[in-house]
Amino acid sequence: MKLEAAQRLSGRSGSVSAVLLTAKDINMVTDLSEQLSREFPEFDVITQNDLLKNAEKMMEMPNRFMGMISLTVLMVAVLVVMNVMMIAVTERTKEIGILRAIGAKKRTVLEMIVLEASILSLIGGVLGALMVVPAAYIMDWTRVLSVQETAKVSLLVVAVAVLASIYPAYRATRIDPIEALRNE
Amino acid sequence: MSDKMLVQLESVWKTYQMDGVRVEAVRGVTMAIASREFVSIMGASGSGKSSLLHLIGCLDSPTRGSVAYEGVQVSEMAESQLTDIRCRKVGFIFQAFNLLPTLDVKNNVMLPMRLAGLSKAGSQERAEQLLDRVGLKQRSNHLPKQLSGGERQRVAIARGLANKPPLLLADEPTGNLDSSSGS
Repeated sequence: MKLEAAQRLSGRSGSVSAVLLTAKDINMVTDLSEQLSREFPEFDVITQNDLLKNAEKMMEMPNRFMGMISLTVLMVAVLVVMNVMMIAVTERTKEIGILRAIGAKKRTVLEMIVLEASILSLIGGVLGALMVVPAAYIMDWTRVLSVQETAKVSLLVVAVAVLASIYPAYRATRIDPIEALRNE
Repeated sequence: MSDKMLVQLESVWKTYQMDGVRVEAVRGVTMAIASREFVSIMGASGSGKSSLLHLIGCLDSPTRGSVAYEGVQVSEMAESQLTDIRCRKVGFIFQAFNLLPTLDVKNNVMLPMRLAGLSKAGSQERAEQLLDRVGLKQRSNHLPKQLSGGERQRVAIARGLANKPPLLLADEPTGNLDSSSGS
């Protein structure tokens, strides 16, 4: 298309919005852009590198978005596991009290709660993986949801559950056996 | 009182706050229990017998006074030492049995031995012997909820004897037993 036709089409007859310059040597690009910026401060001088960086930033956006969603899901998982284990500890106050009364160490109680959370999350992780892998094949998402990625996420779920169960487990160790047995 | 006593209590008081009301469960008890001695504590319901047993069994700490186990002041012991005493040196038969509802009879009896570090096979063998002694060997795979009050109490007795403790504290241990089981 001729310049005049493009100007007419965009309603900007007689004006130019961008000029594309091609350097003879790629090594001259930086010097040339600096020189142009100095001589024509009223213009924006953008090199191909700048365009590439912008494109990379644009491509990073969905990744960051997905990362934020993953982080949110992870935080929700932590809160859910913590809540479930807190309820489990509260419901089993008497049981923990009996254990402490007949000689269970605080460490034993702590390990018991963390182990329970680990086993439950491992079962959840394995069940989740068993559902995700076939679904990924059916939906043709194997590039994103590969077996390795699913295994990694399952292990992450266990790690998150272990971390999230530490506080409820600590609370379980603070149960006074006498109080627990009195509140029958 | 002699240092060779198993447990010594000196002017022991235990006060609770229950719903804002101050309850003096134990008032200035001084007593000593020697090894192989049989001691009965008698009193009306609510007179503080269970509270006293909890203090003797290192399950609770006194508000005032001192409790010594084998000559060592309980107040000077670390939490882990008290837990160890409860595990290896005190057998507790609770008034309300306090069996773990999710474990079967045998595992309830095995529990103190497993907590004391005894092997699974060893604790299983002793649990079977104890259940045989209390006449419940046939019910070792039953859950506590499948047992009668008297049977639960016998399981609690077997559990209390599990680690061959030098001190066995029984809070109304025959209250739910009939005349033949109680003897």
